[in-house]
Amino acid sequence: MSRTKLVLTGNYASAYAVLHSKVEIVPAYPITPQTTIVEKIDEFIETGMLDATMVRVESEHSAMAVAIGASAVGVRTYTATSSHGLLYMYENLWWAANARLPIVATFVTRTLGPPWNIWSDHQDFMTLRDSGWILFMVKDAQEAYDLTIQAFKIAENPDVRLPVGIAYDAFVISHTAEPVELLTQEEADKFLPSPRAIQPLLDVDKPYSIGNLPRADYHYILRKNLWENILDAKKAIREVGREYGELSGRDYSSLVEEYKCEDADTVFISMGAMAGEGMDAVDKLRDKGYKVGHLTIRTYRPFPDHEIKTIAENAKRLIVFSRALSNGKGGILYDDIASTLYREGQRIETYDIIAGLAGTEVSEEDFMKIYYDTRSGKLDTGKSIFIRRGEYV
Amino acid sequence: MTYKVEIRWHGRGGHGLVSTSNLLCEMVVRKGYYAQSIPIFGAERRGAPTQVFTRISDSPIRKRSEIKNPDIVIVTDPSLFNIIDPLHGLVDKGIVIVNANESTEISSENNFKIIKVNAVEISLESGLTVGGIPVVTIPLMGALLKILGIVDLKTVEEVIRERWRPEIAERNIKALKMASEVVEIG
Repeated sequence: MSRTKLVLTGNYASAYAVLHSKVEIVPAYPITPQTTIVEKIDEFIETGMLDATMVRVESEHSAMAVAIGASAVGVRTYTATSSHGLLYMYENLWWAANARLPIVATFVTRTLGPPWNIWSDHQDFMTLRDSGWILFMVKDAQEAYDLTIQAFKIAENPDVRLPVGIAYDAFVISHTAEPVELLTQEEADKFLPSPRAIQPLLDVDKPYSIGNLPRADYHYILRKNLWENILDAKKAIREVGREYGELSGRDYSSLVEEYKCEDADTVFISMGAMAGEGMDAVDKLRDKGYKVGHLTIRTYRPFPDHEIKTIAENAKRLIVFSRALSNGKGGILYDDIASTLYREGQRIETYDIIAGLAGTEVSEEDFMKIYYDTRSGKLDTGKSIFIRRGEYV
Repeated sequence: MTYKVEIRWHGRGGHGLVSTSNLLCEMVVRKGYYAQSIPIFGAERRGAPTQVFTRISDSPIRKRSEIKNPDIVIVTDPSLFNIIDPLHGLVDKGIVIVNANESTEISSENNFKIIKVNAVEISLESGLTVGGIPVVTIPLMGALLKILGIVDLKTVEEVIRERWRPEIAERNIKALKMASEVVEIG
């Protein structure tokens, strides 16, 4: 069997990754723009391509509850949701992380209402920031496929044992069709461990309950253990990414993707769909002789502190694009970057750009305009700067 | 020399713009090109104006924003000219492929090349209808493929035959061939 290259949407790419990962149970509730992922998985199941159970639940809360039960008995479990569905699932998302269950989920980012909105921003995704989930955000359909397969290997690693989420922007990734190279089933089988290697949390032959009231002092240590394990997961993420690179030719051994950063005095930092525009802007600015680079944050939690520190050692200006806002504070990604720099004792020029809220498009021109305006001193380093389709608002 | 073409499709909900744009991508990807098909979703319903973008390139495509300055615009219904401006941002000497018969007036003050394809007639003659309604996007794609000139007929037929059962595939192929005969390259 040779590899196939198909034209797939981001959502179909995720569904193919689930197929090739031989997921065993998919409890899911449909919500735009996630729907076509689970529809496609259902098609794989109905046509006999995937031997899995689709559990048609009555809500996202129940979807994650079923996922928790299934994963607790050691079954390879996947679900997907978006926006209000993610918030409806919220309580159980934390439960899954604290119970150390290796669930994999796709979060197709969609603006929270009201008013009603189906387009992308990252506000829904950012509510998971502190939850204990390992969080990736990808910038195209190929990465959605590749990282979903890797996610199972990372989640199920006994040293990690945490749920993993793969996020991407509504429509511009979820519904945009582009070429995606798929592994053969044999390659995927060889890459992933058997689901039977998952140590079950519950065993019907030896019944006991989990999650009961512990002493506070003991509970404190459980929390610290999770914190240590998610930081240590960087090692597993890099190792799995390197292995996947050897297999596929697409390397994921870094938590970030650097683009022309080596000699850059100014580096754009963004994540998700807008990263492509940022890199195109870098090429245009380089053509004009400006030393600019772009850093894509692919692994959001655990946060790539070391990579940020390294970038900041060489650059003198970081321009951070956040597609989600901490109301009453500032751009969420900006705050992550700023706190890393402060902890490392690095004092360089930083800009907090709020772009793409409510599904507004972020274009190459926006990146370029911001660059010129930071150079000319027009923008304030101390303030959140709102740009909407090329205009400051 | 890099090859880059940006296409904007204007149609109405139900015309099959998304499927046709995706089909086009499959064909060019098979010829070794990179491609991207971006649907614009809003409150879509049958009959409402819709847009889809197709990018084709000989190098990987990073950007995912809407196409503002297309090289080619495709219009599946000439009545769209009454309610929107499908030609906005079209590049100098850009190409317009429109579903219209010879007598339909498409006025443009610019130096655009306007190609009229009677897609309704071609679809009906090819038996390419869904629920009695002619599939106009396939003949328009036939004209587009002729203009692009990067996908040979063998590949076109191969992709079509993989997607549909023989009877339906032949209707699609007939419509594509008929449409490409309408277009004169010059």
